[in-house]
Amino acid sequence: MEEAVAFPAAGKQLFGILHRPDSPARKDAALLMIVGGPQTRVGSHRSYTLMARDLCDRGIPVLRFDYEGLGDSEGAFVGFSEAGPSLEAAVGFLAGRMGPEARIVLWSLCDGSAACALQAARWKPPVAGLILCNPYVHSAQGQAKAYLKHYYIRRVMDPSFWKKLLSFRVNPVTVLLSFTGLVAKASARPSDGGGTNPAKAGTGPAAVATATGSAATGGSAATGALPAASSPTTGPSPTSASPTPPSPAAAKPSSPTAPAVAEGVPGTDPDGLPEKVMEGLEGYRGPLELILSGDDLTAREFLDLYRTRGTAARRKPARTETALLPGADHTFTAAAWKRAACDATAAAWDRILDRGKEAR
Amino acid sequence: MAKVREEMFFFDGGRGKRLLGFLHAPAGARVGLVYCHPFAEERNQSQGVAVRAARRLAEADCAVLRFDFSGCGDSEGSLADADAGEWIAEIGAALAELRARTGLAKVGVWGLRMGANLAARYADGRTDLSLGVFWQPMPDLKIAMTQFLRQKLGTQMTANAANAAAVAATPAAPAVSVKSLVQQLADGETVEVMGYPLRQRLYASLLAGDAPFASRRFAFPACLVAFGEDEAPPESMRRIHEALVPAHPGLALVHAREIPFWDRYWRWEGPAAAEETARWVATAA
Repeated sequence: MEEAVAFPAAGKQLFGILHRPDSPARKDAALLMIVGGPQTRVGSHRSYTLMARDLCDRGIPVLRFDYEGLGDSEGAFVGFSEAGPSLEAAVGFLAGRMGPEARIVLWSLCDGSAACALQAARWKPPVAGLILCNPYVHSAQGQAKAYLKHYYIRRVMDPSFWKKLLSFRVNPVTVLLSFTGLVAKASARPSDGGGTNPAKAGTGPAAVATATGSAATGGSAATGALPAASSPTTGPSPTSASPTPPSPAAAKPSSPTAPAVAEGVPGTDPDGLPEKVMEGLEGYRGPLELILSGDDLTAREFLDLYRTRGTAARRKPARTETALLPGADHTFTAAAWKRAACDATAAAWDRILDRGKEAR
Repeated sequence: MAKVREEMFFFDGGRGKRLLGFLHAPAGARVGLVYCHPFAEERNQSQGVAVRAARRLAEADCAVLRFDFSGCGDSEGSLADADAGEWIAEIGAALAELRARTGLAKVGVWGLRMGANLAARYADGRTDLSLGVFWQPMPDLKIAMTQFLRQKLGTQMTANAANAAAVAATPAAPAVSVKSLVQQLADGETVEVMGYPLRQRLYASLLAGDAPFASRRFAFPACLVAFGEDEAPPESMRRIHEALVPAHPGLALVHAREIPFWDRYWRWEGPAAAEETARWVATAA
């Protein structure tokens, strides 16, 4: 059963959908879906709608909602780093619906996960645990490193890359320039601009996502180009699989052929985002579950930082579980990837709530 | 400013299908519109502008009911099971819902891109509508579906500095064509494009019931809104307007001097189009 709901947050009305299973798997427990993107509660390719329905079919109540200023909700969007009031209001609303014994699991994707981590100090009961999918911890340096390590170098080992180069389907000079540019960026010290630059348009999840996509669209091979790391004028690709939306040139012939430039995602990345996200996770004492897509540079960037910082060790004794979804892209575009993400979510949900039961 | 009641709800779209609706109802509303969203990811990409435009219309005493077609957005069903004939009927159900919730007698349709084409297909020849607003309709839906399917194809990219690394890293694309995808649909397969599952039922019904936009006949005041930064509106829109004018002498062609927003993300402000539409509705109502 799906219910249209509305609740206030800082004087604004937020709208969402509450999915209520006929036979809930667990009494009083519910999952709050904190979307990334920034997208609406429906998401690219209806990702959040479809995954919420899948989870509900498994007996998990789910609330997904529009942030202030997005989708149907009132107000102005101020960016994920300021989403605290929206998140707190959503948790309060859902807990109110579940009753005094409510246990709320926070599920999030991309910058939704960053928002969750940045607000980690708030997450006391009824919040029972966090499930973070492909968390966004962008920095120019981190992105370049992830790109080189996980994408470019892997492809250099692939015979099809050499076939393209030798058949002049790519310009070897421009490939070399682009490669050396990435190496320079990856080697930059943070003071050399390796960190985020809030003044640049499009440094939010949009610009990052243009480099993450496996442009695989629902299982088909990569389409469209991936831009050089950190270019603020790259295509406005969101956190969906497709790196570029349908270009005007592909539209009817008389359409204006305006270049697909990044409009600049409203709200900027806070300074030192990667460190702040990790600090938030390290300070969070509840159960933490990670779901990471195999073909997603954002996830790779996060995992690299998570490992080099030793965040898992710093969280002891609270363990972190990690599920890897081979082949999946950033937003689980293909139906099979959505199912895999829901499988991993359901397993994480059980672990979080079983742990909570033991603790009581 | 008139007080505007906003509410979100599920309503019966016919055949027991629950459709998601969002109503903007100003206290002093004199006219109402049902908004028909565009296809697939365009719905997602254009929602910011559509919501803001609906709020602008509500400020101008025009009620708006936005709804999701079955298999889209938050409405019931999967796109894989959708049917264009049912979508057309759903426009009628949405109009009935708008009338019931607002008590308004003067209601009409407003659509964007494929939503405009579907709205026109519904409205063609009807005498119970009071107005119609069509944002950048397509000449016909065959073009729309070809564009949509083409997104699935591997593209031959011209390498430049920005793209070089990515193009080099792109694995070899499978050799498919729009024709082969259409054949797959005819063979009963699901063709997943950017995460949207398309099947023959929807594909065939969109094309079978379609007619060129320029051949539609409206028994009410209508307005075309064309988007483009150039001095003149896009040629396709001028051609549609010219073809319709003989049968619709009062047909307005409004040029919103801004870039398209439905084909890209995070373009939420479409002030020219919203203002022009509100202004036209005030005169037409």
